[in-house]
Amino acid sequence: MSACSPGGGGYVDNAPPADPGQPVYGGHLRVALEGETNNWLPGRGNHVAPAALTVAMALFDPLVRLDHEGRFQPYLAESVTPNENFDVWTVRLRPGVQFHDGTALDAEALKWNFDNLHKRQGSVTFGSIRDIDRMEIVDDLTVNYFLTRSVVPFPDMLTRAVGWPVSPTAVQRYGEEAGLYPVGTGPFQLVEWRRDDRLELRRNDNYWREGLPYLDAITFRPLPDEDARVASLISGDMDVVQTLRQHIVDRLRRMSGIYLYEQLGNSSGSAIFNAHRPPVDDYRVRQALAWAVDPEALVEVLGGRGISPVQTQYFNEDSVWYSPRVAAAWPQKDQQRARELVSEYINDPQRSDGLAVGEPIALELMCLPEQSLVDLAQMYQALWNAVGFDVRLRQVEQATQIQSVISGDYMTTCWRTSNEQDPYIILNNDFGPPDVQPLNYTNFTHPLIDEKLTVLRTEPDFDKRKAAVEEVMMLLTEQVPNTWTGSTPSAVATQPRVRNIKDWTFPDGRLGDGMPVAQVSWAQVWMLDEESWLAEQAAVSAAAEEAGE
Amino acid sequence: MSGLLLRKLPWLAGTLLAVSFFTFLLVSLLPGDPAVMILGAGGVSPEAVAALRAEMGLDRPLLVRYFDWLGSALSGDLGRSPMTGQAVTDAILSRLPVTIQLGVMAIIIALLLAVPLAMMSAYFAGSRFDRAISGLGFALMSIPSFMMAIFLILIFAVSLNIFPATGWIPFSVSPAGNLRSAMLPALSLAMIELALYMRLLRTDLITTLQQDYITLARSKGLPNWLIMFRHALRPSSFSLMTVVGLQLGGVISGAIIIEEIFALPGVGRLLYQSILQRDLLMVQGIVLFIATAYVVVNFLVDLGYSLLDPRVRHAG
Repeated sequence: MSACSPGGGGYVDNAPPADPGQPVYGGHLRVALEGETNNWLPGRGNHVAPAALTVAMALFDPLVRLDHEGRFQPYLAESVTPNENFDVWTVRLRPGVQFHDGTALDAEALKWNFDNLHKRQGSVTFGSIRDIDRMEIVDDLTVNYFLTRSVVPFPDMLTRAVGWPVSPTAVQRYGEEAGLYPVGTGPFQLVEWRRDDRLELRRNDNYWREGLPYLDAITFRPLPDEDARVASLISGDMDVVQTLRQHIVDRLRRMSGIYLYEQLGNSSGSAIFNAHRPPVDDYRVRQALAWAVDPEALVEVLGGRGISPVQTQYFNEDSVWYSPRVAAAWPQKDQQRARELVSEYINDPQRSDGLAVGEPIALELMCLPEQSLVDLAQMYQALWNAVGFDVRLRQVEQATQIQSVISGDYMTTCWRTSNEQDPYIILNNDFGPPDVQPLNYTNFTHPLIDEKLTVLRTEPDFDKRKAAVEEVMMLLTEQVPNTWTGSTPSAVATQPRVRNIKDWTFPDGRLGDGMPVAQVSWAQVWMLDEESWLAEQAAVSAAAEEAGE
Repeated sequence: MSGLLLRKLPWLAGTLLAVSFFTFLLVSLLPGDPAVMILGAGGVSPEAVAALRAEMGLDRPLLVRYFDWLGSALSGDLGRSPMTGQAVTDAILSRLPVTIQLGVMAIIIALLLAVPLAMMSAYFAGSRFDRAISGLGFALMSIPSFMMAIFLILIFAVSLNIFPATGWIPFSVSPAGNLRSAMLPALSLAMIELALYMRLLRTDLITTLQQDYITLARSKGLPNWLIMFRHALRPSSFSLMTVVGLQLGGVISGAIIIEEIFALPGVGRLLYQSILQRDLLMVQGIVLFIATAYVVVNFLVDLGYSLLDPRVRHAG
């Protein structure tokens, strides 16, 4: 998507050149991130935030990555192959790969990672690999993952922290401080980490991909304040900045002298409902809440007009899983319909909240005190009050919100729903039985979803899987476990000398999935040196003059 | 001096003990489970939470945990953050230079500007100049530090490109770079301090200038600058010194927002992040550290009174 799309007035054409030119070796890149990461040990650190994911692409290599068509492809692994039932997966590693400390990446190292960092209670990643029973070594470079049941999208589990091998030697050497000294196989290796200030990396000269990386060094700096981060790009303190905020993307689209890379994510703002808590345990109430919502107004409040398309399902318009049929069926912007449903509920003698017939429906919406979310919550309140609800807002900070949601102590809350993972992973997390699926925060379950989850787990055929996803999404348009705002834009803005932020490739030349959630593949990014830059500018000027004549 | 120390020491120790206990209690009562915060990213099952709570020692009674912590703290070990794996003492010590430099620079800048302005304001009390300076003081006090920070970034970093917008360069790496990186955050903090110091000193100076000995000095024909600097400033500095002491102890709290905006690796930012993450041990360690800084600085201020004015020494 080009940065000059006319979503609003004053946008400039700051899209990067379609042809980034010839790669240049050398250079020290300075990258500003959304925030800091607590710990670099996979299985211990919080590695789902965009800032963590993008740094991880420099330090670690995932065993598996997604290509530009959304298909899993081996990356650090040489091959990933299932048995006939998809319940045993064989992962073969590339020969000769070493960690930054010289330790060999072999089957033993992989098994050590799995057993000691992930498959143990108390590990952050434990819940995400509950379907994996054990790992066994086949030979020096080959392991088998034994699953408790068939899981067709198993490779998805190896795209994130579970699939980032770290050096067992280093982890044992650093002990409790292993999270401070990441030693992966990635294109860059640690020089120094001054937490909350900078993470200094230098080129990994023994990188397993011939000729990569291009850069000599990268400095990552956490700059949590969005305005200060943009200012650091303008002032030249930084070469690259990342953001996932609509109003900042809007601002960047108006800036000349930079290149802006954008990619839409599936993740969307939402209000989720606790299906175990009256009155939102009744689907009529949830439907009324959805019909009352004007998603465009919500997106406007978030500063995302022309940037964040309205979301109607778990996948955005650019996703292979997107369904126009679902988009058309999603309930929204019909206040009359909402009032009818409210009336039906409050006049029902069996209403679930136990109030007398005719009493208004009392709702509590929990949200964070961040300004854009305060505005969002007030917009929800206004829209819902307009159709007959009595909405009370409750502001809590994030730790309290997470605790309340996890313990089911909430009615409805602002939240983020969906992500870039396989539909089976996302939907199983969100709608699996709450007693075995701790990520089902809405507590919503349905026999049809259970049935379709089995299809998604066991069916390798894409069309059949897509049909199953669509059936689940259609059910959600009736049952409404949550409402949506707009798809999350992720953006990376760079000085014009920085090149190739999005178009990374697999070793066989296949194009990768770009920069989901502003996660950049640093191995294939380069920066023009002064000479190349001046030569390019001269060529551009000459071409412009020629065109003028 | 030693008598004062002996009298004060039990109070100082008692204060720190009370602070440490109530901090431990309050932080433990905060909603939000540290184990859930750590596991939140990957799915939280009751078993996983229980296992991690046990690993972190959170399943033990609060008093047991407190006395365990206190025992270690007395031997200089403030524990290890379960969130980051870093030793709390190391984390604080590695960030201390940033916050101290920021605080000291802010106070020096504020004093360098406040003292002459307050003296001129007091000397010309009631004049247009005095009213203008008072107005400026009120304006500066009304601007929140984060607004001042953004304003300074826009002017000095984005428009003029004199100072960096964010970040920190250690003194050991580049002394000049260090001063450049510290200037805008220190100025942001100094502007609020400046207004406070200016108003305080002006008021005290006006009172002093009405004393008999000042009239006597004037009648002797001493020059005004000598009267102001030698005879009026010193006895008028008591309130200012007290406030500067308090501000130096409390600079960490003031630095929280500034360090966050300018992305400085200081103690204030560490405290802020630790509270958000429910990193109990880190919060506990930092609060104890801040409390110690407060009581030590105030003790030094008490000592300073006697150095500043012999009458205090002899009265004691």
